[in-house]
Amino acid sequence: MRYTQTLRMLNGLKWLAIVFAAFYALVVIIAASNGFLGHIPHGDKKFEIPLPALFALAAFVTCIFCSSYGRTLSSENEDHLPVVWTRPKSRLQTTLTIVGVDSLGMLAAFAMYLLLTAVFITTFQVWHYVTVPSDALAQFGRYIVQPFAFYALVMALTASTGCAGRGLVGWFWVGAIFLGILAASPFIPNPWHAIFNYVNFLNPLAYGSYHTTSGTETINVMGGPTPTYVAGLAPVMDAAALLILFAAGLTLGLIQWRRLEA
Amino acid sequence: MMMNEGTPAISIDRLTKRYGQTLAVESLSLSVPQGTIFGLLGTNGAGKTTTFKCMLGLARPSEGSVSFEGRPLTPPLFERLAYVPEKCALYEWMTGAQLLEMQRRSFSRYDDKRANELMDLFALDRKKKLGKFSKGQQTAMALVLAFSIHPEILVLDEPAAGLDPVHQRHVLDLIIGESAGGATVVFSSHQIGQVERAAERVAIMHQGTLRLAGEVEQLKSDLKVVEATFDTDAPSLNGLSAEPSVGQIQRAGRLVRVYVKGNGDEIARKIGDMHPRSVRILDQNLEDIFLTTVGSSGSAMAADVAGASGR
Repeated sequence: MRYTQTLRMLNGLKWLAIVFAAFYALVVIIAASNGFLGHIPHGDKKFEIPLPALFALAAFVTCIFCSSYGRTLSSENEDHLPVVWTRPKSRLQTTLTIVGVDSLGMLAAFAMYLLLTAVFITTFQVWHYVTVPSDALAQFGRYIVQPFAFYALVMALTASTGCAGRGLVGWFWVGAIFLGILAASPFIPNPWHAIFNYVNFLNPLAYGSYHTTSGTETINVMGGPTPTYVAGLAPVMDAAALLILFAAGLTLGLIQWRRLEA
Repeated sequence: MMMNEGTPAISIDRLTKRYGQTLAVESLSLSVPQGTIFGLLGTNGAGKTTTFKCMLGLARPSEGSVSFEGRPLTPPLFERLAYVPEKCALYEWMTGAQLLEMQRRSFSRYDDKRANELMDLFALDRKKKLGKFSKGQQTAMALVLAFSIHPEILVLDEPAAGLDPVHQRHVLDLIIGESAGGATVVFSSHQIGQVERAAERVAIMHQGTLRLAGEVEQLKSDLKVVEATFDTDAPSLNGLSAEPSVGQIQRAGRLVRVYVKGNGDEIARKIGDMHPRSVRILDQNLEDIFLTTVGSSGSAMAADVAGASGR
């Protein structure tokens, strides 16, 4: 399974690289045609690019990327089980191999997005605007774990399905975004607001928000001025909560996979 | 790993599989001796594929058990066991070369030389993606992967489906060749002629139950057809249907065929008393046996024979 999954993952990364390259080319062409290449006009306002904001965006893009890889078990259930289950490996070993390869792929996707960002920053010569807050490392920990939690929950949701898993992933995105909106909305009365807030602990996308204020500038990434830390304490706690979601998702996915019949 | 002589390669003990209210396989018991070619026959929906799935752990038996060489199936056994499912389960996005590489990395017994010979035998393009292969080529690719690991046990579900007659013959030769090398082969096919040519033992399933099992030659010698031709329309043979050895009676104009258990002499004598133009006793071929077995009127007789010739 390692070989098959590696091929799948490399194919996914190839397409991600193509999309990034196309996006970069488009932005550069538009910027160049407007005379912005080499600098970005920002008036008199203090301009800042906090490093964790870039991590937050990288995590979000990686979540999109791993939407399909989270349903690998489900895609094996689209008629491939007689191949997967007649190898001299247990289902547990097979699953762990898949998760291992996917993990490397997710890290690669995260790194590729950061690389794209670095290329943009270099192209537009805005390195001096990048700031590194004191909690940048902890924030990095949170954002690097977020796609893993997302991946595992997709796996838990789809492991026992076949083709239907594709639709479920779409609905998972809709549900996760909608739940985040409900939890953030100040117009929802209690106890509903409290309930949505609690359920939102299970929503991996909710852990992706980044919000910081510096002088007159407010940076909102992935969720706006709602709680920056879902677990409410620190990025480390959020990372711990995401790790729990990751472990729980994998366990649920594996239980279903082991009960499945071809 | 060497097997003990006398221990069946595969033992199925009272296997039952239910899907909800549907009984797919009911109390099936079979024993496949080592090094034999075993044909599993049955109409569509007879339970052959479900039986294979239960054997290989792809489906959980509702009751009963399956053992290989006296032991339950465990993942390491798949190092020596190959399965070709009825429906191609390979990855359509992979090329022939990638599928071979997948096999090489999964099985220590993988033989690259053998795999390449088989790719050439079935005229498969290594650079082409499986999704671009025809159905027959996809089946052939699955067979290449299965035979490339020199399996000791081969389970093939309709291995010749979709193949042209030339490649069907290749499959038959491969099956016979593997068996000659000591492998145990269990395969299902609707091509009864192929089963008759290759299999030493057969089992016939119908509606989820075993109707007949035994050695092909033994079954053929135990079951005869008494065929008589009359000058006018064949007379009613109702009197014969009460005979315990008579299974099915077919009348078509002046011709009458009576399927019997045993040597058929007694029945031939009784028909001879009706003054036919000719009467002769023929061996039943496997197709006759199959059709009589799955036909409702032949079931009782077939069950008797199964009791006598089965496991």
